[in-house]
Amino acid sequence: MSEFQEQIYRHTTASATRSWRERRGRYLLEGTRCKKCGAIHFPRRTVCSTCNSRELEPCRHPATGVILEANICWQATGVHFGYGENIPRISTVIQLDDGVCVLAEVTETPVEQIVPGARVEMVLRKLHREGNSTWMYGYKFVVVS
Amino acid sequence: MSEFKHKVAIVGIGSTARPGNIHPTKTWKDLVADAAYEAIEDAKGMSPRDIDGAVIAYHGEGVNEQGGIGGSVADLLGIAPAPVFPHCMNCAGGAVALNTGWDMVASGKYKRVLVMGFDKEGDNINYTENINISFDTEYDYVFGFRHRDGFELMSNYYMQHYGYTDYKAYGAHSWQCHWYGRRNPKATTYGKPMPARESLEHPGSCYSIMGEGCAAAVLVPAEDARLYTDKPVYLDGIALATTSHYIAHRIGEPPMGPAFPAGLVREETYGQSVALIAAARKAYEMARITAKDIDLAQVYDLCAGAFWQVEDLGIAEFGKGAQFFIDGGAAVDGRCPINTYGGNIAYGHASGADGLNQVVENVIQLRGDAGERQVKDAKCAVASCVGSAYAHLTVAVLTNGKFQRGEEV
Ligand SMILES: [Zn+2]
Repeated sequence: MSEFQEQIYRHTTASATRSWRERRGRYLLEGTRCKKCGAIHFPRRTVCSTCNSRELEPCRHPATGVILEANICWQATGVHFGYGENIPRISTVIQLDDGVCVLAEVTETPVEQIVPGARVEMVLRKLHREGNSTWMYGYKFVVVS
Repeated sequence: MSEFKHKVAIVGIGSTARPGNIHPTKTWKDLVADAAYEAIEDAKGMSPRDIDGAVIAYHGEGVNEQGGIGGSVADLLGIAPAPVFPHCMNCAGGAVALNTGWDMVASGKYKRVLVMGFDKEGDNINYTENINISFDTEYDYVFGFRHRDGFELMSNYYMQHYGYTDYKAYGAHSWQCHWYGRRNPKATTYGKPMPARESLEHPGSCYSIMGEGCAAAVLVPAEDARLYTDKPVYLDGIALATTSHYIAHRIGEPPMGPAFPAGLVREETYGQSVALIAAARKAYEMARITAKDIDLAQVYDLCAGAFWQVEDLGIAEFGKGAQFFIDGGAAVDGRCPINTYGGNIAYGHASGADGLNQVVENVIQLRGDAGERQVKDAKCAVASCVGSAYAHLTVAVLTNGKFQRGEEV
């Protein structure tokens, strides 16, 4: 019932195949736009949650936005993913400039600046090593003044 | 409103004690049998072979490392070949099992239904992994966020959105749960010293005590209830609402399309669980009650969750839920006693059992058997449970024979 410091076995759902399939969302903040009603989504959807259309096209969301809410956790978490050294663990909900919201980490920013209302910009960062040893990359955000 | 064949009664309840502890000498089967047989025994004159259908909930197959559980449970309890339907709905599972059990009896297809919820998370998968796969893993598993991050984000949002600048409400709520827990012999904190209220005024005081346990109930058509008990309790309304697991959807943009609950302004529901509001409306409509009828309620306490839950249930106005706890509204003699069994905070939290532990407490209260923590003249009790970080929301309405509806008085 504890969060172990050492790497231990993973139940693993994030296979390399799966990570590769979602790469455009992770690298480019690419979600979907509904061709029928114009609703935009992130993460990408298969069915429009507004009008139920299946006519969706890729939509790249802006890489800038504002922090809606932030949480700073001083406990090691996500250890099995290689996030164990990543203390504090910072989770935020970011509203991008087109209005969609993203659950994301803010990095390379003094903790006192990670507050609701702060402007942020996406950066691409190394995340962790996948089961087949390839490195995974994905979005994080930094506060910009 | 749809017509159902039968009104449904709960005639037996059972639960294992101290669900905030790990029980290393017991298997999951021991825990399930303990609660299930206690519930069957509680229904006077019923024997296990009388059960003609059952439902069992647990957090998820991955968490308990036990798949295809229906057959194992029928075999375990000696009720084969009765059907056992499994549910994996995170912490709301027990209440979802109750929902299915209601359907089975109300339809007339089954006569004596056993519903159960359990968790045995200390045996298998490590806890970090357990809680990470509880999200929608297609969305954000790879980023390593946990449920707790989600609950904390939502709680920070609620507190800031409604202008609460300190943790007085956390202290009041946590202290009240501990007060009840010290008066419930099955609670994990029973017999433990009582914490000082001031010592609880910090964000860490409203976490669950995680552990293992099982809860169970026996459902029959209301017309048969008196065969098994002198104090039948009626399950008048029950609803499950489901929505996205994605935490960013919770705070910024509830993705409910045109089905957004009527009369609510999207911007005014930030900091609320819109799906819980939808579930409450459905359950109250089924039960033909309003929030004013509620004498007590059990809610899923974790971080600030209890504050907006009492709001979504209509017990307090939007933004006034935290103040409701500060003002003592949740006390046994308060405006609407909340979490009289002790809640996740003091009773203990065995994920799959939570939803049923709440209902078991409501049955005890409506029977008048709650001893020191008894709510005076309890006639109508509600339970709301949460699965994942507000992706699965259940509301159950229970009444006893003394309850009179407004229109009938
Ligand atoms: Zn659409």
